[in-house]
Amino acid sequence: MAKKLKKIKSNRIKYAYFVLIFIFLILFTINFVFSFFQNKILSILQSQKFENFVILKVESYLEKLSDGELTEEQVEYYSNLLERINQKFKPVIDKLEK
Amino acid sequence: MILKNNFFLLNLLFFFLSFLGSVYQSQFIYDPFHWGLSQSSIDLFSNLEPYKEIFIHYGFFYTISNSFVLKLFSNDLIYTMYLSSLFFALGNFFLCHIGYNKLKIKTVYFLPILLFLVHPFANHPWYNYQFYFLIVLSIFFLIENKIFSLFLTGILLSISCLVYENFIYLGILLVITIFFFQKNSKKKYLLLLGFLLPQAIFHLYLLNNNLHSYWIKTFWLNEIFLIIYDLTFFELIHKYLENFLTKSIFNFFSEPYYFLFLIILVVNSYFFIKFIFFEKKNFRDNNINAYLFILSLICLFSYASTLHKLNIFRFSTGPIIGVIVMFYFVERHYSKYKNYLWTLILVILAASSFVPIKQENNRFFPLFEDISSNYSSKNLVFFKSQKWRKETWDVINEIDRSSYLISLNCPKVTNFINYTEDAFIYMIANQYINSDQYLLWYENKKFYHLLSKHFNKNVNLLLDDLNKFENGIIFFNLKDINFLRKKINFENFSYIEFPFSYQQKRKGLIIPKNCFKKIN
Repeated sequence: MAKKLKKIKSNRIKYAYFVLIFIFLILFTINFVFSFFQNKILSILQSQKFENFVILKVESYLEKLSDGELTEEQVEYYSNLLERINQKFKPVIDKLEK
Repeated sequence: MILKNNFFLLNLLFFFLSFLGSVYQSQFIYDPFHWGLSQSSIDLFSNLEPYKEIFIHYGFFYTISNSFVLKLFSNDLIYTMYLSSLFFALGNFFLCHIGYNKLKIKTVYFLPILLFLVHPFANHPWYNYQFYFLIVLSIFFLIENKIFSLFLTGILLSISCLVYENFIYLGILLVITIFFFQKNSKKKYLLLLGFLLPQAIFHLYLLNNNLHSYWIKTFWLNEIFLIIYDLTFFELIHKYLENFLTKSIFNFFSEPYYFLFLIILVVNSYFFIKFIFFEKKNFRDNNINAYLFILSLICLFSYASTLHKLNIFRFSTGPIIGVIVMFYFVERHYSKYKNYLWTLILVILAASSFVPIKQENNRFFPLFEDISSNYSSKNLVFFKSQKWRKETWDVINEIDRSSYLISLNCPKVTNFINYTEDAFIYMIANQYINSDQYLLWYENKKFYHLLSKHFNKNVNLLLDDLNKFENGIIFFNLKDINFLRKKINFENFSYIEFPFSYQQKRKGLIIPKNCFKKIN
């Protein structure tokens, strides 16, 4: 009986051990894949291609922004917005004019 | 025998993996703070005097070994990194060899993989890697226990103290301990002779050149860190233990190597205390335990090198030596589970360390984009083997061009100040113009103020002189322009902006107006 109990205990420890190994192997796979993509994404962000892409996109947004006419509401909204920006950056603009 | 050969091959494989990996990775590193210290090694073979006129940060032997390498390879900085990489890989190789072949700990079979997972590649051309190799080699010769090998142990321990001068306390303690254990009086005195010989040569050199008063200043450099952190020594220890424990426990899944070093600390402390208080007599008859005691002594003392910062490269070039004691401990007390335990530890370490991105245990894993797009520029001898981004080269080449043009066209400009953290700027400008600033980097920060003051250098006075006589130029970070406006009269000076780069940010150069006109 005692021998049987000992064997059951030993088997349980073995199972627990292999479950632990399995969990860490899964963690390894997740970490590896995650880091690989992290490196890929950072590489893209650092690349000249991405810089060109951003410049083209900004140009495209500016072009779109310059198309058409503003509605009354938009005139009111942008006036308020630019007024606030102007207020905030006044010291900088004053310094530049000097 | 087959097992022994297999272990040798495994150890050799990880030696080459670590060495070649470090060599390859180092091409992409841009780290002017650590690499820039090579200027001291270059200056050592000029007419300047060490310590007095040359900033020797950690130790004379560290500086001079880099000097030889730089002389041999025409000042190409990457070779100092190759030297560190070689020392690190050899240190690991010999540590495994000691554990498996000399101390006969069979589970050390796992050690080459463990060392590689904890810290795969050398990260800096720094003294730690040289120190680590020399210490491990001194243990190797100690265990050989032959007459001449004890002499070599003494020499290597002594050179370790010259690589890292703060190690002298432990060096002396180690020699006394080995002296105490050794029964053969011939071996005892050869060990002592070996230790005293390099020290005597070094101190005779200092004495001959009246340099002792300058040397002692670098010796007390650590005090500055206490002032910077505004802590007493005991507060520093308390804070260190708190941070170390927190990182070990709460970062277990992301940075498990800290937990490993905590266990190494515990096991070595246990072994050390057990030896000192309980089993000294038994240990004296048992050589293996005496060697393990020496390993634990080195391990525990070298934790002091991590007080400054909890960097894994510091742990992996000192406290890691105690891993042998840990292997011995597991083999002796948990013999039944040893293979399971080490396999689990390796899997845990691999789970978080073996990843293709930079992290604490390998701080310079390159981006894929850097590997495919970076290139070399042969313009400057210092960096001809580096592979950096275009915008980094643009800044470097522009600094070189400006310095050259100033030296050519402005004879009145006789000195420069590098008011940035980038020591590469110092190296580039120093090819054409002199500098009196002693330190290779300087910023308006407490660390640099205190460090400079410690060596009796006042950069504010240098700035005042330069402003008054208009005889120099200042490299600076553009964000510091407001601070420098208070120091420099911009009616007589102009400034140039260098191109922007992600790594270097925006740097500038303050230059006398008459010189500015000549180079434009």
